[in-house]
Amino acid sequence: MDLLHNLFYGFTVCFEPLNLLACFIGVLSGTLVGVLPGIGPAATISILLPITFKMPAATSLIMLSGIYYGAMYGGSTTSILVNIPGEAASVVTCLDGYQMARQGKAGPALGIAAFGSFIAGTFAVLMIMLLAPPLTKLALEFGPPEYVGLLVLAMTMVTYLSGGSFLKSLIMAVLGFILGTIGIDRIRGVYRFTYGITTLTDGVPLPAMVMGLFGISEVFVNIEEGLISQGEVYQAKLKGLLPSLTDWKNSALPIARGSILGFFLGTLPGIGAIIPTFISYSIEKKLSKNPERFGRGAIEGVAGPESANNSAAMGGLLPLLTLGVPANAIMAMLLGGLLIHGVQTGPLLLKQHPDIFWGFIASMYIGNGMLLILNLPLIGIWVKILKAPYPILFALILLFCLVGAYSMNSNYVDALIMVFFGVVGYLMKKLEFEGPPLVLGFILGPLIEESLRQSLLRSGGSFAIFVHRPITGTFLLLSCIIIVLPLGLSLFNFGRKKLDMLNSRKAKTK
Amino acid sequence: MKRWDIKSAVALLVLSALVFLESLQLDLGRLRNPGPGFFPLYLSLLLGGLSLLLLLKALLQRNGDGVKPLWVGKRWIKVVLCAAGLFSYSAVLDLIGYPIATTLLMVLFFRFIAPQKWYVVYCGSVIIAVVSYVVFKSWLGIQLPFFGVLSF
Repeated sequence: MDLLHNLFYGFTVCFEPLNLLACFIGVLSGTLVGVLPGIGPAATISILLPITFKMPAATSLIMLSGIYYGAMYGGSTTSILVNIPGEAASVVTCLDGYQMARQGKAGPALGIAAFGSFIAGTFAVLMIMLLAPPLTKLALEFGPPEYVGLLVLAMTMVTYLSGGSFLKSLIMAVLGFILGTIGIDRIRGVYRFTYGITTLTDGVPLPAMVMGLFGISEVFVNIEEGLISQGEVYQAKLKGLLPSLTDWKNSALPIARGSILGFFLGTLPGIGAIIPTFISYSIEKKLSKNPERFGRGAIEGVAGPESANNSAAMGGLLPLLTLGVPANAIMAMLLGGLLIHGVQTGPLLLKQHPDIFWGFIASMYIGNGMLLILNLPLIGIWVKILKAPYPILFALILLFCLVGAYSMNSNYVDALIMVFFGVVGYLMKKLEFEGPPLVLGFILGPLIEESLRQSLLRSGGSFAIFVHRPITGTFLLLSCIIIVLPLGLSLFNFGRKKLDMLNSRKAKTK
Repeated sequence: MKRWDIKSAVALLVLSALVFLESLQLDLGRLRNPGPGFFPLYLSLLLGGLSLLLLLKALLQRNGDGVKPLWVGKRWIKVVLCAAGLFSYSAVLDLIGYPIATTLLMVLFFRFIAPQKWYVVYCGSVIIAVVSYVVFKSWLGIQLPFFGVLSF
């Protein structure tokens, strides 16, 4: 009964005109960036972050999260119609979605992607609603040592799963921690590494940093690749967006499986929305009576992964809202956005800001409904947008970023910092260093430092406090295993290769 | 990638040394009451250790791995040009004001980075500067300098 009462309260918050408008702008711009390849949800959230500063905290969270799950919806459109994934989580949809479009079934493919995403999104919202209160209760028992363990484990998982070289990702995470120490020390009130630059006294401005790392650097890479416009868009007239009864029969179970799988994987730090789509696709292929249909236009290959990516995108919100632990870089940006408003996510969010928590949950119901309305009748418009000339678009994106950074404090230093991080992000992409561990390290670093110093104060300087407490010990042990195992394995492989080389040389000399 | 990994590892080592030295200037405190320099000092050591590992890994890589060039062709020059334009724009925005700075930036974009017909370069740049000023200032309420120092 309490749940229903709280949800009703959430709807009253969400139905305030400003929040409703923010939700609409969020899902609309999310769908737009999902449709446009070359600019992902991370870049869009970072670009729109400064606009949300003047809004109330709940409104800004509603809008920013709308962008995220809107992009998950929109990404499927380009995958199906042009065989170009609008964002990474829609890569798998290309396999069967584009084949369906070539066979004249683009309508049902787009339709099932939209319905599947809607069902998965609704399922995820229900799960968040049910699981958030007990998880919050559990998290309230946590002290600073438990937080150190939890945050270190989250950091390690994100770093491990961020793709590319694990060593380079670790370096990026540590670099993020170091960047997080710039500014005033929260315990002693001493300035660190500010060098007299007033803008740095509150630390490196997060929006300028993420706009540079994700927005500007993406445009730089696109400029280097020649600002290529999109491929040939599927030209035939779209008709019959509503899937047939047979389509529904074939898709019902994949949607259910994708929703469950996506949600639970999405709650784990570092997993994100991409991995569940691949797992969902392979599960559907394995369970299918005719696996040879996959890759040739099987609707299950669209329904499962599309549900999984939306469910996973929303699953990541559970640890953020209840434990204050962002599961990926985008969640870290949402956390950063709320911190700017002076709101700390975590167990106290539900107690101190029920309007934000329940208003946000209710907004996801409404946002999912809006997306269904946007995606089905407006597909024609999205296809036209796909043909927008990128040479003009890139100039506008850069201008928006510059003005966004400048407008934070009406100070050119913020814009300079953004461009600096744009160059850094571009070089990182070239040198294969991952961006998400750096952003996560930057946001979680100060929280880890504070908890670490409080723990040491409490224990009188003894690190044993992290071992003797069972929850902290378990978290840290898991982190150690994640770090040591791949390093040990690569050393083992290196040794084995050298041994093989020596053996083959010996054999040759004999 | 080998050559670039070595260069990045060396750059990161230098950075870690700088952070280490700067952290020593701060109060380190004691273990029972860590000071503001405590966390950055240990982070710099960790960064240094990881950078050394990267250097070692790159040095042990076979030479063939370093053949792949990072920058193919001359398009990277456009990236440098674009970055220089963005830095200059940020630096002079307060001096010459939004409309002039934005027009100049757009001319740079449409003339050199994504070449367009002459009327798009000049007319388009002015239109974007004026329309965006109205949108940012009137609709979004963002404070932007119109004349810069000329207004004083």
